[in-house]
Amino acid sequence: MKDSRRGNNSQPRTNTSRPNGNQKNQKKQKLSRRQFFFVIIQTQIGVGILSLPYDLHKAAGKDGWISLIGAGLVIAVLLILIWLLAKRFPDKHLFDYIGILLGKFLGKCVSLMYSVYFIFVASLVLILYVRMINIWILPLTPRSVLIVLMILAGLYIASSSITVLARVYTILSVLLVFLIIGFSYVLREIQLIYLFPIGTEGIMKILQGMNAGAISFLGFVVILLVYPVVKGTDKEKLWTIMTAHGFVLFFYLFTVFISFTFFGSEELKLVPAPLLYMLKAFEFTVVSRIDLFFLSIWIVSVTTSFTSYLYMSGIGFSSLFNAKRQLPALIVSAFLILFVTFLPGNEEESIIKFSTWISRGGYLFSGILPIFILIIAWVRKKKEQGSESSC
Amino acid sequence: MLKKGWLVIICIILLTGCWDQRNFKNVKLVLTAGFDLMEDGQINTTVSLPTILRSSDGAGQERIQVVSAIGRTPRDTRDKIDRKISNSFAASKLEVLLVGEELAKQDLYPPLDVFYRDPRSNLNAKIAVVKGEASEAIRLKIEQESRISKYLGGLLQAMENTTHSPGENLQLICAEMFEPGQDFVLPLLRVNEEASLIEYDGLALFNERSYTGKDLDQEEAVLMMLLNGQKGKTARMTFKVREDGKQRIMNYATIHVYRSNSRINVTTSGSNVTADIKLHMRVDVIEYPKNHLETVKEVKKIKKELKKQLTQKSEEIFAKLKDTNSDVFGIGRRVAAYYPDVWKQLDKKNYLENVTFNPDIEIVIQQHGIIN
Repeated sequence: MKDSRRGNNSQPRTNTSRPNGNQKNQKKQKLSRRQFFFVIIQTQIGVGILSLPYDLHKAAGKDGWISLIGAGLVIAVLLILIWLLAKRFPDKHLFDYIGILLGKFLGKCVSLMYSVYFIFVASLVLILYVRMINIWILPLTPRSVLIVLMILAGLYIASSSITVLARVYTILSVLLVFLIIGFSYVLREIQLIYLFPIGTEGIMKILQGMNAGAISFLGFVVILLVYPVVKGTDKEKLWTIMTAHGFVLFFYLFTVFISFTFFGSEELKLVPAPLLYMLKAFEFTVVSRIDLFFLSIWIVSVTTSFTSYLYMSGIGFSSLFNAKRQLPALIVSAFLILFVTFLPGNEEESIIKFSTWISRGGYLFSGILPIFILIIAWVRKKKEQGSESSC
Repeated sequence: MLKKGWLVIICIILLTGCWDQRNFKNVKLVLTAGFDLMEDGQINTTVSLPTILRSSDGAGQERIQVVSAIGRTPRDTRDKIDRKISNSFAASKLEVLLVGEELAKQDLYPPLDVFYRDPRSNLNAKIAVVKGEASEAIRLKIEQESRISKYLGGLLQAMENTTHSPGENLQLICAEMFEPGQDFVLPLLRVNEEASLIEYDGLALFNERSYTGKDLDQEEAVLMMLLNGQKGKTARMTFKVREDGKQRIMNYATIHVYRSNSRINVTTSGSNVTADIKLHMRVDVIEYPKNHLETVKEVKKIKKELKKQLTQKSEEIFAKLKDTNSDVFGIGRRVAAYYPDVWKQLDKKNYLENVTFNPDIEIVIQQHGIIN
């Protein structure tokens, strides 16, 4: 079945595909840049989207949107650095070149750390997802059932190749359009005045808000792993990365903007999931309670980012043990995720603690470590040999 | 193939789920609820529950059951009502929520908290204040209407369409309840026991979160809504435009607002706040018993008179708002937004009193029906 699809390149009109690139790469299929775009945004947009406006507001008050823009700009710089790192090794992903740069032992250690980090993030996604579902629609369904179902779905998507993953993400991105349309409906009840006075919360608070904003962008690590299997020149890929980032920034800004102007500064303090909550106020002729419909769409977004992390930890483990096949590593990851998910328990306090620690880890694994590796690559002048000729 | 078959079976078993089903046969849907304040501070909740009696032929018949209970909190009364009815209480399809006058005069948020907190509640429900007791309105037997919720819902919707009320629902008032410098109004209903009807009686003015006890009457309500730029589908107003009519009826003209546009501009000098409200309306004269609107002069005269009347009426509205500090135009929020320093100096309890309102009403009569 897979073989029959192989010829069916999902983007036949890409004029940049190298001559005969498709036939030559019988072993490894490549992603189109459009798929690359969707892999990035689907990994980034996930469980946090519903509470992002609240988190920003908590940290930076009604100037939270300024923080978000600030965070977006910082991340954009970071993305360029990540691109510089990735383009040094056009045929290898992070776990391949980590050993070359840091030495075998240290490389393995860092790979292990990355895999564990991905597992923790995946668990956090699951925990937050289950909490939201429990509060909003299924108060009586046991947590474990929801968790296992999500893991099975993720495992099913991730067990195929990256191409399949990317295709699924691309198709599912249609749902984002529905989200945007639905949120646009709220525009009729917003009061722009709630954004004013601009900039009175103080520079410190805005900087603190950038923390909350930056966390929402984590997930771009996926670039380091997917980059080598994407078609196109480095410049084109950078362009894709930047447009994906721009899209996510725009999407977040839009959601933050409408929730700030809909709720106003005082009410927003009370509403931890503003995006859903505001939809409760509206009713279409046939459909009421649109918040429930949006929750279902949101579940898909959660699934995609969960799957990405599961997939990444799977790659991590399989490269750690030099495994040929990925499925065993994925299954191991899935079990580890299942285990970790039950660690923080049900209490709000411990979940918050858990999530703070993991978001701090995000700075390390998405920011500091890649930059560190890049510096080492610069210093040691390591580059993939013959990188120019391969694609 | 076999593999896929298994998958389908597993999916069917897993996807249906069995923990969170809520069967319709097990619940009684509450469509209208009313809260009243008892003398000792307890809450009296009255709900109307429709039950459909299945008959052997044709459509089922509907019976309405009205139940009330007194408790410490709305949730407490819900549980008490639950003990009085055959199935369990479900407020997820609530259409209209009525609040008694006395309860509204207190802080309105506490009785509504249960709605905001419960994910199942319908925040799209309309809300209104009842002069007297809300329970009276719900208990009212109306021959022609099968359901009180349909009646109330229809009434409130009609008021929204005719620019008599802003069409607030539970969620939309919440932001205004919390935000300082911005207040809201709710439609005010009155029970007419003799005619066994419920009447719209203007708009109840709120300050912060509580009802001030003062209202805008029906005509003021329409003008206030227009000044605030919240025109519904239609808006009509009747004014006395002359004194010399042979019969009383001849002195009046009714205008239909075709299009209106309002602009509120707030300026400050020192701690004095001035609000310029510019209202531009394009109107049709839809009733003018005196007739003879053929000359331009005559039309101009009416226009001038209308403008005078409108300005006068808006001054009355502003006086009422100042009196109650009910900032329905959100003047305070605008000051806070554009002149934060001035806002800090203002007395939050009574700031509206010192605001100068400058209404500037411009009308264009574009049609006067198919006769002159």
